[in-house]
Amino acid sequence: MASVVNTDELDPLLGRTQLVAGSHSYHDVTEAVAAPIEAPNSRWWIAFLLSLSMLGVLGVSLVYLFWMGTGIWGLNNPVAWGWAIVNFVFWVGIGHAGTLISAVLFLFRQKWRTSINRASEAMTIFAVICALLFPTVHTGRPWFIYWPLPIPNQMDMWPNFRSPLLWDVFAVSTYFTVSLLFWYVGLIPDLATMRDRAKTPARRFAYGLFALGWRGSTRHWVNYEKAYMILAGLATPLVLSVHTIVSFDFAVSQLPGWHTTIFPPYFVAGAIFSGFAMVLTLLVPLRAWFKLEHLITIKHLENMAKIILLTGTMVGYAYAMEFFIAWYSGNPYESYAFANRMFGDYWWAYWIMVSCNVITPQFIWFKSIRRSPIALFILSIFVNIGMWFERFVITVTSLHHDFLPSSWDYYTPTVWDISTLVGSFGLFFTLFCIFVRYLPTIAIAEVKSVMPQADPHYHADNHGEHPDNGPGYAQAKEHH
Amino acid sequence: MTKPTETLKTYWRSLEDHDGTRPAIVDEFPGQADIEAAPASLIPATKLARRKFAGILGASTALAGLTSTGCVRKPVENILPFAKRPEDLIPGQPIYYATAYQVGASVLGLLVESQDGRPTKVEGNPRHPNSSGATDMWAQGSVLNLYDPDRCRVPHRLGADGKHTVADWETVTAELGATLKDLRAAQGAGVALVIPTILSPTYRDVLKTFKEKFAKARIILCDPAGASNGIAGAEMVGGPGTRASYHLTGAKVIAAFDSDFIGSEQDHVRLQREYADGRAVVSPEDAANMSRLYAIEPHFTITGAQADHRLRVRGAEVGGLLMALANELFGNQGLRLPPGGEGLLGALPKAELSPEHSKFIAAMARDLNAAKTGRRASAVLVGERQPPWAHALAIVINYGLGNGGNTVRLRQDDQEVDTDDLGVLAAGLADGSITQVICLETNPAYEAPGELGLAAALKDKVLAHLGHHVDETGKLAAWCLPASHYLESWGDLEAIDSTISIVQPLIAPLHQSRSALEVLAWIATDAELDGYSLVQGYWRAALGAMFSDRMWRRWLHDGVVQGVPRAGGNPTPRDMAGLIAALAKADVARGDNFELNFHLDPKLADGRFANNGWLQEAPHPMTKLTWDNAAYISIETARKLQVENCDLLNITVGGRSLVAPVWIAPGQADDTVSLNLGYGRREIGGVANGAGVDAYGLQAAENPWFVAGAQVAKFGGRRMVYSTQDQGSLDPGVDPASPKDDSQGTNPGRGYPVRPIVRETTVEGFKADPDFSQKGDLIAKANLHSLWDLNTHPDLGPPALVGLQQWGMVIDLNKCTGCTACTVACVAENNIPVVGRSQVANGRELHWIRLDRYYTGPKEAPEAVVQPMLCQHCETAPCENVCPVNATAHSPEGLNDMAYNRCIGTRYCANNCPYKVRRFNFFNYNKEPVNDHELVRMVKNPDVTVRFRGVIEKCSYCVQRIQEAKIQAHTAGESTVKDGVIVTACAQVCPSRAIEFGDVADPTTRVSQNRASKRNYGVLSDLNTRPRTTYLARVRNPNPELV
Repeated sequence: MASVVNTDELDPLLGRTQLVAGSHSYHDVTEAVAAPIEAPNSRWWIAFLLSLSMLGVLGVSLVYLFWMGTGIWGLNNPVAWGWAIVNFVFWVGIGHAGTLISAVLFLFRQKWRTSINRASEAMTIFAVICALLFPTVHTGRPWFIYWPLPIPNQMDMWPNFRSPLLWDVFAVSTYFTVSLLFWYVGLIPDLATMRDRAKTPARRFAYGLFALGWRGSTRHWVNYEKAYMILAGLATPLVLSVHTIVSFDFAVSQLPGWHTTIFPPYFVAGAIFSGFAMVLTLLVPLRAWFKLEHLITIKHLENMAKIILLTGTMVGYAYAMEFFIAWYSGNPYESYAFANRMFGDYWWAYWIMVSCNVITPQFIWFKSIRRSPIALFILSIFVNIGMWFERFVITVTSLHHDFLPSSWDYYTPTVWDISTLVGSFGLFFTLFCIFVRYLPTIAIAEVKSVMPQADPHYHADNHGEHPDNGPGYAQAKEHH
Repeated sequence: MTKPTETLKTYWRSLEDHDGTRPAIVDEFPGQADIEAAPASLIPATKLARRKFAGILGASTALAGLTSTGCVRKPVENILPFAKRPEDLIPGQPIYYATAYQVGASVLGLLVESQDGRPTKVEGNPRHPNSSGATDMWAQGSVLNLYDPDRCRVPHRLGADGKHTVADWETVTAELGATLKDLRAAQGAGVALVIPTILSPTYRDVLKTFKEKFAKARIILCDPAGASNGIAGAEMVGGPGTRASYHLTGAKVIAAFDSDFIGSEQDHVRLQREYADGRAVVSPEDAANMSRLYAIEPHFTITGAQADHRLRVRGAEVGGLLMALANELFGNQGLRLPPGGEGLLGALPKAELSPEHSKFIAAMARDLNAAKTGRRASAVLVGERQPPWAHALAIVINYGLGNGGNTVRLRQDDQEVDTDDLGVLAAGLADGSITQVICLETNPAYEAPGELGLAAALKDKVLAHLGHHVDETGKLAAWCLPASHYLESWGDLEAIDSTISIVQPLIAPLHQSRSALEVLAWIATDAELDGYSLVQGYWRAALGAMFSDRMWRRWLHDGVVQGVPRAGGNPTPRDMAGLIAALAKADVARGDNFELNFHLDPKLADGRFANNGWLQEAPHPMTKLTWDNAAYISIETARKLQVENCDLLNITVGGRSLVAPVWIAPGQADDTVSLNLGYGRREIGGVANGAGVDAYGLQAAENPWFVAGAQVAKFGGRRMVYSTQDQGSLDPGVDPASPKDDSQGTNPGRGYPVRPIVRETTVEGFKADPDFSQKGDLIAKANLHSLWDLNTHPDLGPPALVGLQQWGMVIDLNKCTGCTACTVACVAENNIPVVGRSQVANGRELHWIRLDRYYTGPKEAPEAVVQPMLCQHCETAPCENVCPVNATAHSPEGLNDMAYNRCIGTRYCANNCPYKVRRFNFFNYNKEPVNDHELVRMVKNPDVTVRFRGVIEKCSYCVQRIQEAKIQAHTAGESTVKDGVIVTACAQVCPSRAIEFGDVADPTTRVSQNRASKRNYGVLSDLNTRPRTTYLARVRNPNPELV
């Protein structure tokens, strides 16, 4: 595909970039997506076993954590939240892109979303699972983690509805539920395709069970699209609310560096930023390994890169504005907290964050970079690192030097902090590997709907049977 | 199977059973006798051993099928009620007994709380003048020594193979008794008895008997915490038997010459109280009545931190400055020498002083003189570290200033038995005239100055050692005998002002121990008498017909002996010959190279508290180091040596050397190294092992306290020592302990103002601006609006403070000296576990009250302020809003309550606390070996929950004491608790009475009156937290001449 670096194929009817490159029939699309699932390649096994071993690291880390207590981490007195909370916010942020792509872009009729929404929604769900892990295990007594839930009990004890942590419980769990439903509803037609193609009774049963008897009748499609639209409408505000509320964990407190009104939009922008970066990190290898370049085209990658550029710049603006307000407020605690970020003990973390989050995305201005999958992959890794450090900077540097200088201290992670983070990636990638192994990574039905063949004005003689540009194009143009 | 009660029996044996004959005790702790037992590691196993790791892997499989509750370990623990309740014992109702206790030359009268027969908490005896209800860190920690699992529990004898084996007292009395019989027959030839400072009349009486029977024996004094220099100084001018004591009541000008009278000098508890009383300020008008404190010292002590003016000089220069003061007063300013002192002026060497020093001394002299002219008392105090002539000269100066009999009192002590110093022991061992050494509660192998080389010389020479541990001397002893703790033994103590207290035990000895008194009586007479008959017998004999059982009972009840005439004599400084001779020989030269200074550790004293986890973990009052000592040097010296904190220094003097880590101590005199004694113990117990370095080895024989001519150089490498306070300045950009010049380089705090957390002014400043304490808030109080005011919903609004009484606390920064007694008292009262060195290293100390110490002023010669920081019980507490499970909530009486059972440990409250006073149980600290030993558990206060891992804890204002008082008031039919009934543990221990606690809703209470003070302010109150704990801003009283 080297020849199409700077030119995309245009849709013959709309004159816009074709969303499925090359001329493919519906069947080709089904084959392209379903075939890798039915016969996994060796790359999958390598990726899966690697992820599984990382998951094992998580298992060991958690067992040791439950056995000993949170003291195995580097937490100390002023820094009572460390990597666990950093990882939580990081994963919640990652979990933003999926629903944004599937719900918000759906409502805005952004048809290019169709080839990336399935995988990014899966990413969202797995990221939220990773995120939910951390607040659970970071508590001192995780066996009582259900206490923040408003479960009626004989003691009449209710959770504290004033606590942002409680809002988190509701925000994240709602987001998770809606995202999961949305994802599942979108999967139903494809699950039916998989059922129909299944060669073993077990697969037929499993796919058949979850396909909910989908036969593709018009009535099915009408109901399906209504449900999908409603769920998209429900999910859209959640995209904004979940990270807003996560930001409240910080913004509602009185700690200099946390107590900032800019946090909700800043966190949402940062979440979309990191989410899209993670989508790139996942899809660039996926499209190459599963040979899906014609479905997830360079144009798709370019679009995502542009969103990264936009949100990265918003994040950069937020960084600058935080500093301005800290200075403008005249509050010495606040001003110090921000000066301390730049030049204090954790200066390196701050500058890693700025380099990765503000400087790296600027390369996207160059067309050759934003159309190069390899460049985008590298860039997305930097953004992921930068966004992890953003949460580290916010959480740790604000805590380690606060109001009373007497309590200042320095926080250093232990090997268990690191293993838990690595392990959470293990959980994430294991789930993702299972996903690409058993479920269509691209929404087959939706992609078909944005192919030229789906247009009623498309009249090819071969009608979706021949890949070459037949006379149908010319006819269609005339009709148009 | 044994019943649990059988093993408990040894602990719970009541005093009534103690009928004078000691029941034979079989080896209660088989297996505990192994004195080389590996010390239990204090460090929670953050590192995984291979086997443990494999075990956990296995456990993970086992737990896989369980729910998350499978992780909770709840061992089966049986409790058993009394089948028959013993008479006079109400379970759960503590009983207090009066007793007394001694460290070095200081005696403190105590009231000790006994919970079901276990002594758990030490308080000061209000009737005893030396404590007047207060105590110090050492007394607070002493109760833990009783339950020290590493105590020497059974007698040991040294075998031919050089190893100790367990013996019993029968063998001891038979075999050691036979040896002693021979020695007695030889009139004690070749015997040396090594004893600490003896202030017990009974002990002295027994000692006289010993002297009769062992006429040729030498009695050696070994007590680094004693007062031999002070005694020698008093005797120099007052004649033999003269004892001097200082009293600061009414003293308007106080000059402390190397005297840490607030921290570790003799009678520091009383002196601190008297000093603090003199610093009380109510209004700007009476601020001028405040006393003024000058301090001249090499090392920044808490006394120096209190000083209005402080000079940092070498230890050797202090005496020269004292001479200069005498010259200035008696020479230049024409003060009359006391009668008999006429010849002194001519004998005083005229030292050359730097302009700064002479200005300081002249101003100080004028101030002292003005006090005399104004018929006001003053005091010139000289620390024990200074040589005898300095003490003598100070007495003369004080008498010249008219302080005789007032702030400096001389009295005659004709009961003391003459002792020799350790030099005599070393010489005797060297020339073979001493062959049998008996050490009673002394440890010369460790505590003797290194130059004497006693650790080696004592080998094979120690016949018997009675000690609390198998310590450095005990390891050498042919017979190593267990000593009883003071809470296990009978005795008596006479304080410096001749107040006598009876030491009564609260518990029968836990182990097979005997008291030093009993053992000495046995050595002297071969008769096994118990302490009770010895003590009571002495007083019965001393008082003759005047003695009555009723009187005895009264003494025991009150803790103070009354109606006993003490030998009088009213010495005055009259004979100057000795002083003049000493002055002629006095060396006040600065000395070359580095000067080494040695100090009693504020936490471990001379090392007797080295195996005490509470005291090891308490931060050093100034440097905030825990679990370690270090070579304290000044910033200039650090620059010169090019070292930073924790770098190792090689310190050599007189062929003796020590490698010690550096700790930069602002305010230290340049080219001096201060080392605290008491650390670097050699295998005496799990807590002491590995803590610090042994500085005794560097001490010289002649003057153990400071020695010049030391070589100090960077050694290479580091030894990490840990302080609980990293940032020592309220200016975020200045690190007072950094040799780096803060004005250079990137510094995030540069240009930001000093934080208005500690507020202070001078007397003049207070007069000029009585509202100074209100200055510094970010938002003026009038402009401070609360969002709570807009929210009046009964459930969702601010906490309803509807209780009849509203609890609050006021801490007077003018009185708080930072002595850290409150921290240890709080640990004892509230069952705060010891977390260990590695946990403190990671900032996880659990102390509920900490003493923030900030340096101010120039880095090279800083001043210091201290501020106790504990839960502020904010009325609108930030911690309460953020807890997702309501584990911390407000009581109607204004307490910020903590429900441990409800806490799930999100730690959000700790993050949102602007004062960072919330502490987290990162591990199950109470299950660590250092806290979980069957003996250590006995010190726990049954009124306070022992916290599990994973929960937050913090100061509760001693809610258990509040509840107890409320119950008492309720029983008495009262609706409120009277002012002064509830005393928090920190307030109770405070020698300065800096802490007032009470009902802030009632304007008549003391706490309310303090809150009404002009000096009252709340820390960070501009955050609208409305703290219930407020502070009275500090007022310094500088000499206008020196400003």
